[in-house]
Amino acid sequence: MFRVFIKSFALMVVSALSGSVVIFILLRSVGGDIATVMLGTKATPEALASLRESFGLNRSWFEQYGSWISGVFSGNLGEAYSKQYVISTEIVQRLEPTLILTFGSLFISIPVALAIGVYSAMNFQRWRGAAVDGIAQVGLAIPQFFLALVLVIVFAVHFGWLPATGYVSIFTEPGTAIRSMVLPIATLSLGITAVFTRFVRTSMIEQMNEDYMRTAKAKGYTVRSAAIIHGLRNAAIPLVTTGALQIGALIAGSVVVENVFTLPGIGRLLLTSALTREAITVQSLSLVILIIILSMNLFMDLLYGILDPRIRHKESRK
Amino acid sequence: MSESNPTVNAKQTRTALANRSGATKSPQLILGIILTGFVVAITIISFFWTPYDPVGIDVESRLTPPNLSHWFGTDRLGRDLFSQIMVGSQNTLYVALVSTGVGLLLGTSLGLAAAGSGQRWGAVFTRISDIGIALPSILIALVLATTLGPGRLSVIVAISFWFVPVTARVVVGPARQILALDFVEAAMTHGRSRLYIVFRQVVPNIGPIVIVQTSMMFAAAILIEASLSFLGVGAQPPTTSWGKIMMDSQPLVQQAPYYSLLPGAFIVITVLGFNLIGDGLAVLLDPQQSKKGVV
Amino acid sequence: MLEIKNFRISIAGKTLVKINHLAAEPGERLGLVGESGSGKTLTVLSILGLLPSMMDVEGSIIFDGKELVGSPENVLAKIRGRDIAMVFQDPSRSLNPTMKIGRQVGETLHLHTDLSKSAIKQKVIELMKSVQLPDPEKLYTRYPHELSGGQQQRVMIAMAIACKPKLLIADEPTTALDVTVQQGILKLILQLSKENDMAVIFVSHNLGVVQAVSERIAVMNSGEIVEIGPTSTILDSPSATYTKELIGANPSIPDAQELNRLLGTRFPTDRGD
Repeated sequence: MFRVFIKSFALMVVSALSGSVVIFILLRSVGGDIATVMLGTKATPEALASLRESFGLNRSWFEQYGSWISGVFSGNLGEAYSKQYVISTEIVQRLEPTLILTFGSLFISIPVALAIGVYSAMNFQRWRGAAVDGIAQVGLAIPQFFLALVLVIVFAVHFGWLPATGYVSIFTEPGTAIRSMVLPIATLSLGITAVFTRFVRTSMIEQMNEDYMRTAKAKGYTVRSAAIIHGLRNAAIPLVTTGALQIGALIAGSVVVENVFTLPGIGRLLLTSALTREAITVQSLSLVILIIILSMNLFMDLLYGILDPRIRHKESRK
Repeated sequence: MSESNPTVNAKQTRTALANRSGATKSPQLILGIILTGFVVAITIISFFWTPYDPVGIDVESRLTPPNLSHWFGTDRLGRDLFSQIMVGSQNTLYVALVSTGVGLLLGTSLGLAAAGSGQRWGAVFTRISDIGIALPSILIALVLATTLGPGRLSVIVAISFWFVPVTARVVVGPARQILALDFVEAAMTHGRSRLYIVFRQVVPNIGPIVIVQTSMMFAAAILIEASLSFLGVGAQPPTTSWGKIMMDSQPLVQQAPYYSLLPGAFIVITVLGFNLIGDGLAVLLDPQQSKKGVV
Repeated sequence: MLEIKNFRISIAGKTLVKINHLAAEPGERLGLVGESGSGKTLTVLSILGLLPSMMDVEGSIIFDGKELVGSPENVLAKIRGRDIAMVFQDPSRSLNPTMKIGRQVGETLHLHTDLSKSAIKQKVIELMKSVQLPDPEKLYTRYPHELSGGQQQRVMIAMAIACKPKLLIADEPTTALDVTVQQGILKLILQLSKENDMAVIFVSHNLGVVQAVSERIAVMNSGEIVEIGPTSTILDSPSATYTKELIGANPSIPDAQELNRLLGTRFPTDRGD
């Protein structure tokens, strides 16, 4: 089991580094030169050159990448071009809301999806099951920002129960912090739960047709107990393996959700810095986001190892 | 291993029996076609006619809720929302079309190439596509927006950037399986070129999977484009798009909830339509496969 | 003990199985033989009410005086695993891959008795010993994929006999196993049947295997019983044409002699051999 973890972790580090290269190249190769963008096309060549130098943009790509990556490891990424903030401290500060939002939604959606998906599967021949599946189907089609706005309209504007914006650290005022995170987390988890639910349903229906379920029934289990005691764990396995593909969507959604609810997180900073051309910030934030995605994938991998004993033994036998 | 296995696997029998009635008709497909047909029709009509001039300012009727003359109501400047939606669909569908097309073309080629190559290249392909899949389009779009600037091009590139590895991955598995079949090997020993085999054998067989995937990707493209436009990173004014309409509606969410709700519902219907087509096709074309769930 | 009368299984109007009469006595070992599609599996599945829901069942199956056909699920659930148990063809698929062996074997005890957890564990280890599984304490915490096919099938058997059922239905229990392993399983089933006075309905397409374990054999073809009688009669002087074809076509009949020699039986006709 431990070996599975180490292997997955090593893979994650490699992927993060490769991803960082991709991001770096994307930023450097596409589009205009940052100095021109900032100063305009009418700027003098000298002004452009001196700006480039102050940003370190005149160095070779290797040098730039090198200093960036070493900055990531040392925790020193310098200041934003606009000099308004220190990049590394800003990023660290913003981790809290983002991590609460993303991991919170993931942890909530998995059990909820399992519960609803199993219910839908058990009732798949009745309209109840199909109705749940239909709702999930519609849920898939709802963009995160729309769902956010709808929830705001219902719960913040109409009922006034929950705040539409604003955030307070969970360490300073836990009560308010939780209240302000309810709608954002609800938005994000509803979206991913819809995807997972359909998946669990399909998976569970497949499991119900497996031979070991027949054995369970032959032992005297009712269909319901057989489904939960035997089927659930096996049905969860494909959810974990292919659910990992949904992580990207989850993170993409979190960027949108942060912006709709103006949460001071990574996603919000990403948008503002992209629009103000803060290349180093965007680069670093992208890397952070990539790492969050990879960690979630790692979490799913571990879950897979826990759920399926066949994997554990395959690894240790190597 | 025992030499005979005359009894059919019990599970296969049960699953086949369960699928029998389901595969004969697909209400999802029909519903999907109706919904998307409606949206596509509106888009086409919008090139020739809209109820009002979408940019026609009419301060008298600002922020009116939906009524008989303005089906979706009006915005802050009195412009008809339904007309804006109609015109906005041009942009959204254009972006979806181009990115899906690029993703399909490049992704399928890449996937086929990977399927045909040996072990080593196959492993390289898996690793690289893993990274590509891990980077969500919104992230890429924002990265591109930093240097390329916000706009339609960034969005199209960003979406395609993700579609290519996703399509490639969907294609590679089945393609490999087909290439490993005996009759394909036989064809190769008969001197048929690889390309010929690919086109005659592999493509028709992965066709259904790719078609289903296309529908799903189209729906995804619409969602991503709308989200990016909502954030302000998509098509820039004067081009209008659904996301931009939603973005404008946000500050007015208290006074004019219809401004967010109706355009949003429109987006949902469109995406739902394409998803249903994908689902419906999946059930029809390959009843066994549909049980597994496509990306 | 078990009586099937005027029995029919059909789907969408088409008859799959039609049995006028089939009975089994307590402790009797009855073989059910026929090619795939002959309806033998459907027949035994319907005893336990395990047929797919789209199939219709008419007629009567009486077990221990109780009518099973049309019986509600909760009544059947009490009988399953306790009074009637079943062993299936492919043990690697019939066991839950993510649940420990020990727990799976103990499930019927958990469902049908009031024994404490530790008592159940004790019993499970005893059961595993009685089916000749090596190292039961270790195997208790293992998973199915860590066992060989033969061991998995022994686990299935242990599971089945846990509550000392009156009837064991074995549906092609050795078909998915290596020939060398088959003999061990057959011997085990025979032994358990004798020791516990447990009736066995042994289903297989392989006449050679069936005759080694059964006292009586019923031959099925296209959903009907074409012949039924003591094993020796069926093998030495079959009356139905189909039975003759079956014997003629079955390559393992010559091995039957060898099988019998190894199992120490010869067409077992009375208990107490």
